[in-house]
Amino acid sequence: MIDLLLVCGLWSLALTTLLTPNAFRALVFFILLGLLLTLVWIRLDAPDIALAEAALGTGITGVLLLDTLKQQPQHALLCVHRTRIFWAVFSGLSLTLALSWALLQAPAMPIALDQTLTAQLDASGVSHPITAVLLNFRAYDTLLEIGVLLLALFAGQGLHERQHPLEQLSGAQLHNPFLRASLALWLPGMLLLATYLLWAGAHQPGGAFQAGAVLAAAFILMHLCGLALDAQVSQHLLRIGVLVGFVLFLVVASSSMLAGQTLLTYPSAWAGELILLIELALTFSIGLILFSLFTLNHQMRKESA
Amino acid sequence: MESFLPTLLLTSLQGLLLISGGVLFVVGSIGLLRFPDTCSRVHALTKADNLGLGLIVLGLILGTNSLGVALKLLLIWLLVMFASTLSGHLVAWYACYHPAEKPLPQEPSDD
Repeated sequence: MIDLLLVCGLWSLALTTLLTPNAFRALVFFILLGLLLTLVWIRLDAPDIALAEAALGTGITGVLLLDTLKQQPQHALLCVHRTRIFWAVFSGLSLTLALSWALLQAPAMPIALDQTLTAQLDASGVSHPITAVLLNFRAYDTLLEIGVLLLALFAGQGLHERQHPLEQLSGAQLHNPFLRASLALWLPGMLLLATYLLWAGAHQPGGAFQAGAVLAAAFILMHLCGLALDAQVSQHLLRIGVLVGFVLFLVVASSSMLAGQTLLTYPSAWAGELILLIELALTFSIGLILFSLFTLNHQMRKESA
Repeated sequence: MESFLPTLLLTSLQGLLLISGGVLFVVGSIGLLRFPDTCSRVHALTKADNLGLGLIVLGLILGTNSLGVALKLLLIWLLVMFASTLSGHLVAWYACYHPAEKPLPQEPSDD
């Protein structure tokens, strides 16, 4: 019954998002869709994906999209073409068909991956299977993911000419005393939550990406409140911080090649510590990268103004 | 037989709390749809929904045996109350100070 309601809700929200001519409204429905999707992931017993969907897919993406929309109010009214709906329905249906065909055609797995994972879990240095896959067995994927994030940031920075110190960006700040006071009250809590998510990743749902999203939210709120470090310090911190996750990951990953092993082999005695170290740097970098993407938007607005 | 009455009482109390919480959410949503201006809409949402969530949390606490879960539920309620107070305040504050600025073109209203 609950599942049926969720599926109906997903369908109607997705259709409303597509069919609404008002871009702001479509965006709000998109955020709602993300929240409902989070519930669906929880129903499917996948709390890791639910956390990532709530923090990244809904929270940070929603903020970035809202910010972009505010920047371009002249595009607020979308025209809903029939072709757009046709393509949306067509691609949705063909994806569903392709997926069901793949599901029916799936050959019996030659290796039982889940059993292999359970057998090898002790060697990975963490006790949560998803973290073990993401940061040990398939660490390659995660390394590329942080690389992609970094590339996105570089592409964004390449789109406008010069860097403004963060201090100068005052266009979008909310000078609200209550927001400031609550942020002062809750900032330690947000940092604690990010650290907890990171630490919990070793043995239960959580991890670097979720913690990084919380960190980015804290940074964005601080930026909106007008709380900032000295401009020069924050520029240096930003440049180093954005890179540190990828660089550290790469160093750890390639250092095993010095000992004659393949890329991304951790010494098994230190695997847990190394994973924690990498995740710490990743969290910091992800937080700063997402925050920089947000501030890039503001810099562009200031230039166009 | 002895434990029957308290269980029945507990279940009905729980049901009462959960249902009235849900009703409050519906009332809040009706307020959001029917009230004319931003401030009264914010008032309808924050007031009714926080009370509704509180009743639902109380109902759920009655259903658990573990202190940890009960405390976590209470914490959720407190955090949501704080967040909705802050966001309600920000919406009303923005609407007060930017009355002329229409953020988006209005669609033709149907009332």
